[in-house]
This record gives sequence, C-alpha cells and structure tokens, in this order.
Amino acid sequence: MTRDFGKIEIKEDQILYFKNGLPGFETAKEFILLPFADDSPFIIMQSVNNPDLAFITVEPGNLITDYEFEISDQKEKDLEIKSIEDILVLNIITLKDQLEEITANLSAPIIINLKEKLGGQIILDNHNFSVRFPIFAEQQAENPAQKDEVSE
Amino acid sequence: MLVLTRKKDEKIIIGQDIEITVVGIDNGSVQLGISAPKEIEILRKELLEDVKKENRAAAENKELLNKLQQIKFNAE
Repeated sequence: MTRDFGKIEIKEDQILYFKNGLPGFETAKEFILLPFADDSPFIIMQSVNNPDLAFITVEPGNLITDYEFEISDQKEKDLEIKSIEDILVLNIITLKDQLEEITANLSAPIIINLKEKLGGQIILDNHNFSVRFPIFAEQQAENPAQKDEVSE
Repeated sequence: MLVLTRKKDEKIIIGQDIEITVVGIDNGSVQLGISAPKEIEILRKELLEDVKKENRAAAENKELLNKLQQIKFNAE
C-alpha cells in the first residue's frame, strides 16, 4: 500500500512512528527518511503529514568521534530497543546563510529503531554535547586546505 | 502557581511517588534532589526550550537545502 505524497510515493512500511513527536513539533508523529543525494552524508527526515516539515540530519560518525551516550531504560522501552544493531542515530542539522556556520544538534539526537519503525528525540544533559555544534570547525582545523571550499 | 518555602533538607511530595529534597542552598543556587519513577523524564527547562528553539530553526532549512549539495566530507 502506498500513499500519495506530492512527488514522492512512499510505502507504509517506510513510515517511522514518533510517539511524542519532536520537542517543538509534538504533533508530528510520522516521518520517513529520504536520501539527500547519492554522495551526500545528509539524510532528510520528512514529515508524512506535513509536506512543509522536514529536517536535515546526519549520522554523528560523519561529524565527530567519541560520541557516546546512554539511552535510558525508559526510552529503550518506549522505542522497543532490543539490540543496538537495530538503532540508527541521527543529529539534526541547522543550516545558516554561511555554510561554515552550519551546526548539528549533538545534545538532542534522534534515535530510530529501524526494526520496529519507532523513533524519538532524546535530550542529553551533557555539557560536552552542544545544541549548536559547528560541523566544519573541526574539519577546518584538521585540514586547512579544505577551508577554501566553504568560504564565500 | 503554588509557592512553598522550604529549608535545607526539607522535602516536597508531588502525587504518590515524586519527592523533591532541598539538598543545598548556596549563593543564589538551590540544589535539588529528585526521586521519581523512571518513566518520568526530568530535564532542566532551559535545555528543553533550547532544543525546541533549535528544532524550529532547523525546520526552516528548506530554502537553504540546495546549498548542501556542495558539501563533501573528508574521506576517512
């Protein structure tokens, strides 16, 4: 069974259910993941019910190493997590006019149980994980030659 | 809003199973101990508000989306 979705045709079994929506978007409970482009690390998290609502996300491994956190027992239960292998972690990206100002929200990762098609955004009370982590700062420091590509 | 005055080590009970203890008071800061069932999420409100604000900002990304096409990550 498919549902008409503007230009996108989606199958019901692609829909991820977010019981609590997202903070600020509590009524947005159904999302699908769409690849952004073939060679892009970014993944679009598109609301099924509201075509105008979409988030750009990225897997944290593309941004930083040592990104570790605990998922509470209650969240594990809510998301019916049985195995760590079923989980996809995504961080929401906030774009800015200047590309080098783009940030990722490391403080509130999206946890998706791919097996059960359940998702939620959890909030980590950890001062090391910023709500607005500049995603290019570290790469530029490690590889100054790349800076030209993102400068105006 | 209910406003209560409590001294250090005094407690407040909310409902059957939420207990809040004033653990310490120091220079304008109050340290609270909270016992609650684990299904109750406890967050500093400003952090939740910050996440809401950032989610709203992120949802306004659509017009900037095509800029992302230019981005390539470093190969590992």
